[in-house]
Amino acid sequence: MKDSEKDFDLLIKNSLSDMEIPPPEHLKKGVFGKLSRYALVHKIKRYGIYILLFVLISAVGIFAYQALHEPTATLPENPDLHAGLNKEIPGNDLTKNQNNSIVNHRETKAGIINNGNNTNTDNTNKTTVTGNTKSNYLEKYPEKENKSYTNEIKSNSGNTADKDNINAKDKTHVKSGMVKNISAEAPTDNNDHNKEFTNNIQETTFKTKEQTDLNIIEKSNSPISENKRVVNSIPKMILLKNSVGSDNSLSIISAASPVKKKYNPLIWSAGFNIGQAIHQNPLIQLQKAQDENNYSFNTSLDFPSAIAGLDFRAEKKHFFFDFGVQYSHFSENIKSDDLLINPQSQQFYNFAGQTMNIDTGGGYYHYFWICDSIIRIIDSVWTWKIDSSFTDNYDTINTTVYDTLNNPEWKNSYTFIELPFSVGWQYNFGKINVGLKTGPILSMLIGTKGFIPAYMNDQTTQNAVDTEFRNFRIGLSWQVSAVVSYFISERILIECQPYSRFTITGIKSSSGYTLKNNSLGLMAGIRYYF
Amino acid sequence: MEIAELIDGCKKWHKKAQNELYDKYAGRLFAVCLRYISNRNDAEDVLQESLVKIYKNIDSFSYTEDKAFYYWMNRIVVNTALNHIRKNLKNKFDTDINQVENEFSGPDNAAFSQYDEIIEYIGSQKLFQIVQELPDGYRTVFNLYVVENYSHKEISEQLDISVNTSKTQLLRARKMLSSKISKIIDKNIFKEVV
Repeated sequence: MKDSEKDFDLLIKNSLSDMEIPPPEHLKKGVFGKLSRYALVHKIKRYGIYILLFVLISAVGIFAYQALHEPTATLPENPDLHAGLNKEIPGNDLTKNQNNSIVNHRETKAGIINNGNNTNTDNTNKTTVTGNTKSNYLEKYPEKENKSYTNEIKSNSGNTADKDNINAKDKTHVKSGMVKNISAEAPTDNNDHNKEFTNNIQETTFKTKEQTDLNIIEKSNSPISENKRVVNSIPKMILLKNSVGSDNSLSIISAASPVKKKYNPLIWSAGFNIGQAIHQNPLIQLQKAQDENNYSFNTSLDFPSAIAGLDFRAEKKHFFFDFGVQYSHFSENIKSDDLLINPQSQQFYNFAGQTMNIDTGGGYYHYFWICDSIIRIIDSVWTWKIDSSFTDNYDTINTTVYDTLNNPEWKNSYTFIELPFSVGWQYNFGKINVGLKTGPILSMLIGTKGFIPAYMNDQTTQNAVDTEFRNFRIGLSWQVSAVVSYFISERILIECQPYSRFTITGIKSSSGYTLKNNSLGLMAGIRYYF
Repeated sequence: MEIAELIDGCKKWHKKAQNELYDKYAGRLFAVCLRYISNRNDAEDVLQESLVKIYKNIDSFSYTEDKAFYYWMNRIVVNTALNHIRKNLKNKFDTDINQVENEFSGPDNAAFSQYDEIIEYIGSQKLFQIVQELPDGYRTVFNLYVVENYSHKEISEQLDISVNTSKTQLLRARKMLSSKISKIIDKNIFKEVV
């Protein structure tokens, strides 16, 4: 470029760059009107940690509530009952689980008509057994007559010897879910089993080909004593049409009401883990200096983060929720190019008659001058484009003396107490669990050591880190981990968690530095199931 | 309020700090907009958009010195103006440097021996007006090259034009500017003489 062009450009630049033209009044209103719309977004961003915590706690609350209140529709475990229920029945398309939640009632016509006491070859047995169990239960605990006794069934389930000797009184106490018309009929003799089934047939209203069935229906229409009727004891009956009227005629009684809600409890465990970052970014991002000398700060991590922590886990099926507390310690080396640290009080120095080395590309600052092994900076002298050369100086100039010059290096460390929360999913392969978990980590700074450059240029003050980053400041990170664990005994497993962690909200210093922990690492530990 | 405090207040969305920032810098930034966009209404829109960006993104700025803050804001305004120009100025750039004589002699007048005397004579306001009167393409490249210190390569990337086009625009802008300056001087001197 020619000098004429250079000069012309420079003069135009100088005269244009400081121009000021007042904008119209309405513009200000427009700007602040628009800003007000973003104020809410800013507030959300600012209080993001709290919002996130609220959402997390709500999620955990919902998770815990559901875990504690979700019913599982299963009958109390009764080996005999299950054996009968799970028999394959022609025409019954219901699954095994569905069979567990219903009472099958199947009987032969012969069993109904001719031999009321001998209907124990099929699923009717279960009804009878249940009734019998109920009978035994009431005999034993008459005061609990109207209460649910299903839990008791379990313990009495083995007793089938008296199944045909059901007392009518007992039957009147059988609740819904049992063969329902037992309560309606209220027979008084010991040979009432036929009546029980008769009532079933009546309620299900299936039509048989045999006249005998009709007789039974008529019989079942006999008057019912009001005082023996049990109110609210009639469950819904379901017919399997394909089987109706055949030898294997089948009716199913929905057993929604007698099924006791069974809660699937959370499985709790506690774990102890230690970890180490394998790869970690610098904790403080020291930006490259903006001046013409391009001084830079480099951080290197000679001992990346070490973590040790306790956590508690609540598991349900494949899902789990972790929360805990952990101790984290990070340290890093800070190196810099030609940093002038800690300016001392300014001194007048008489340069008259001396030669000095002006090392600069031009500008207002940064004139290095080394004299008697003392580093001095000449204060704010303006020159234009003087290359490195020796120049004579004839004036007394204000100078500043600094501590250090070339490549200073020091070590900083930061200690945190952290609260990790995570939700995860895992799958069990026998002794091995494999899963993924993710969640936030709240980090509270509890201790620092070292120094930090106060300014992003080559002349700086070393501020103690604890004046920059105050204790008990809180930051937020997010962590994603894979979880692989192996059961070494019934209650104890060892686990390994490769993790990736990144900062959402770093801890900010008064000089504008931000403490961030972005790392890839590995945690290993042991877990005990209560 | 010191600049550092002002920035801190704006980071916390304090209304007072935001107002003060506006009062302190809006004039200079509006001049930047008008250097790039001659239409006043468009320049106002660009300034409004830029200021909203500045307030929204001030969190990302870490204070080192007062000048750095102004440069940061200036960069936002220039980028917003360039976005506006990119949308509206397509195909308004001449393309071939060979069509322009590769010569620049600068404003020439026997009355002045130095350019700074010329600039001083016509004044900053008038110079600003002359720059504003340049055709859009010339003005944009001239501003980017001369005032913002972009290289031709950077200009070509920013405006999606070739390096040669950028050079052409700059040369033509310089020539037009110098001829306009010369005309103004001649006119004024003639008036003074008369």
